[in-house]
Order: sequence, then structure tokens, then C-alpha cells
Amino acid sequence: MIPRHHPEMAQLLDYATGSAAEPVALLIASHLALCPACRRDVAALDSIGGCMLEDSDPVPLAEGSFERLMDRLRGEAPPEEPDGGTQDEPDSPFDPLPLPLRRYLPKGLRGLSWSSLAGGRIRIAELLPPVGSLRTQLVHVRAGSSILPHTHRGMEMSLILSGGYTDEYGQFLRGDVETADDTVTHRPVADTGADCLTLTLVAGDLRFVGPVGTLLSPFIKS
Amino acid sequence: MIRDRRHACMTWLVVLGAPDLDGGMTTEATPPGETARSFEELLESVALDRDHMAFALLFAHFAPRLKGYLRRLGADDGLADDLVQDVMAIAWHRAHRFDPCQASVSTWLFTIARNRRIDALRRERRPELDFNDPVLIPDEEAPPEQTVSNGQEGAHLRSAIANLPVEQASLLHKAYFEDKSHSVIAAELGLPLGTVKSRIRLAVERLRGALRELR
Repeated sequence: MIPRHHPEMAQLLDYATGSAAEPVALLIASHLALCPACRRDVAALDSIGGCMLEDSDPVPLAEGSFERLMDRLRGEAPPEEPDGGTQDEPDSPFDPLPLPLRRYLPKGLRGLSWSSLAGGRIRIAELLPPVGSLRTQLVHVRAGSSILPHTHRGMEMSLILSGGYTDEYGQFLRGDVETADDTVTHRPVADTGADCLTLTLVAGDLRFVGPVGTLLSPFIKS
Repeated sequence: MIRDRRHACMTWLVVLGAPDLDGGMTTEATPPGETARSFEELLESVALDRDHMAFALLFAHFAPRLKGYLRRLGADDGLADDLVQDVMAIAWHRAHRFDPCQASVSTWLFTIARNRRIDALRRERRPELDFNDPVLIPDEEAPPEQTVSNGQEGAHLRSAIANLPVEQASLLHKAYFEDKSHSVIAAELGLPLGTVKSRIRLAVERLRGALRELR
């Protein structure tokens, strides 16, 4: 299945130039595993980078640079191949996770510290320490449960890893990316049939709207 | 064929003398005519035969440019020299993983330098797509396997970038050379975020179109 909801080109550009913060880069690299169309875009953006490199004004190197490098290479063991990530947990209820994400889960999903909300219908684990106000979370919503209508003080960006949800903007399935900001109010409802797992980046607090949201815990069942 | 070309290249080196390896670019070496090996062929020789001469030629061309790129992105002179060493060392060790069907040599080196810079200057990990990922969804529309040489791709893309409207080209230069995200660029230029996003989209679509013509 090919994703239908993608990051914006400007976000892919930030990923390709290297200016994207690590959490955003993690989300995009994970999306790329599941999205051939964005892989083609990023390949083009990397080619633009190659062209920019080719066009860079050459700057003279320190004297003896090449000899220094060859001396180093003679004594240097090749670097290790990239980490293959954790194996899938055999009894995981979720689809297998993309490799870029698995590399951040040395002990698997089970090794994370999960907080339960709404009577266990929603579970959240922080994957990385916050970067400024940006938090990186894995969010597990039981099939059919929902998150209260909310808007955002900053950006929210989600990659669906397993299952799916539907909100005012459509249905989001494995590989899809939804980006929201303070102009967006939405109420995601996990599709019935399978639990939903997302990688979600949130900058700033969620702001819950409506009478219930102002009173209660942010996450509550539908 | 590669053997023949190597022979031609060595002959040529004897005639011209070894390239200047410390980056005084005045004698930059380009083998003449059909005997020239492309950067991709040089890297293949590095991968297969640990060919020092091929590596020296790649170094002579790319190392000073890598340094220029890293200097513009904020590395001081000494750090830029060290990072260039790191990038070229990675290129030496990982040459066997270079796939000319995926990227040109300059593109491949750009990605190595970018990731090394993030690691060294920002002390962050760089999450990367891995083409061996078992969950990777294959690309049904992939173009037929075909090597795009540095020369072809570079020339084509360079002229496409040169033909971009100036406001689009300057956004791309800022993005690649100033380590600024699109939202930071928008704020700096005093432009609405939507304007910057749509200029980026237009520019990249146009350049992708130019690249497609090659494949």
C-alpha cells in the first residue's frame, strides 16, 4: 500500500539539507521506507545537494592532507556496518517498524516507559528527550478510541506506523503523515479492527476545545 | 573495459604529472577525451581494487570542494580540514556500497558530508533511510536501472538551477549552504511561510522534471 498523505516538499528539503531537527529527520526517514514517491523527491533533493557541492568554491586544504589521510587509512579498521536495529517482537500487535525507528529502540517497544491514559485506551511513551519544546512520542490508541478534539500551540506531525485513524482531514493509514498547526482543530478516532500506533512530534501543548476538553485529562475515550 | 581505461589514465598521469593533492586547483586534472574515467568509474576502482591512484584523483577534485561546503556551513578552517578527512575516509571504507544507479559520486559525497557535519557540529544522530530495510515498500515506478554520471547529471541540473527564477534559486542556496530550515528562511526574509513553501515546491518540481529527462 502506498501512502496518500505526505510531508511537505519544504520538510523534505529540510531533511535533505540537514537542517531538520533529529526528531523530524527520524519521522521523515521512517516515512521514506514506506513511501517510494517521497524517496524519489529526496533523491532529487540529494542530487541538488551534489550539484551545490560540485559548485562550491574549492578551498585549499592543509598541507599534506592526502598523505595524512592515507596514513590514517593504513592503520584504520573499516567502520562497523550500520546497526540492523532490534528484531521485531514476535507477539507485537503492530506492523513491523521501519528500520530508522528500530535503531532508536534497542529494547523494542516493550523497553520504553509507557504512560496509560483514559483507562489504558491510550498509551504514550517518550522516545527522545525533548528538543526545545519538541517532544517525540509513540502513541498507541486502542481500536475505536479517540483523542479529544484539540488544536496546537505549535506543530504536530504524526506518522502512522500501524492501524489507522480518521479525523476531519481524512483517513490516515500506515505510512501516512499528518502535519497540523495552530490553524487546525481535529479529533482523531482510531479505526476499528486494529490498534493504532503513531510516531508523533508535538511542539508546545495541545489545546483542547469544547467544554469537556477544558476540564479533563487531554486523552479520553470517545 | 575498466582495465583499459585505467591503463589510459595511468599513461595520462605520467604525461601530466600527478594531480595537485593539496587543493591548489590550478592544475586540476581532467583526463583528456575518451580515455577519461568518470568519477563513478574511479570510485568503482577504489571499491574493487583499493586503487590509490583513483582515490587520489577523487580526492584532488572533491576534497577542496567538500572543504568549501563545510566552511560555508560554519566549520572553521581546522575543523573543516578534519571533517574532509573523515568524509574521504568514509568514502574509502564504504566505496563498495556506492551504487551508481542511486546517485552520482558528488551526490553520494554530499550526503556523507551532510551527515558527518550533523554528527560533528550539532552532536545529533542522523536517521537515514536504509535500502536493506525489510519493510521498504518497493518503487513500482522506478526508472530502469541506469547509471547517471556525475558529468551528465551535474551539467543538466546546474543549467536547470541557473534557469530557476532568482527568488527560487536563492531559497535553495540558503537552504543548502546556511543550515537554515525553510521556516527560519521565511522569518529572515520576512516572507509568509506559505510563499516560501510554494517557491520550494515549484523549484523542486522543476528540477525533478529536469532530472527525469536524463533517465
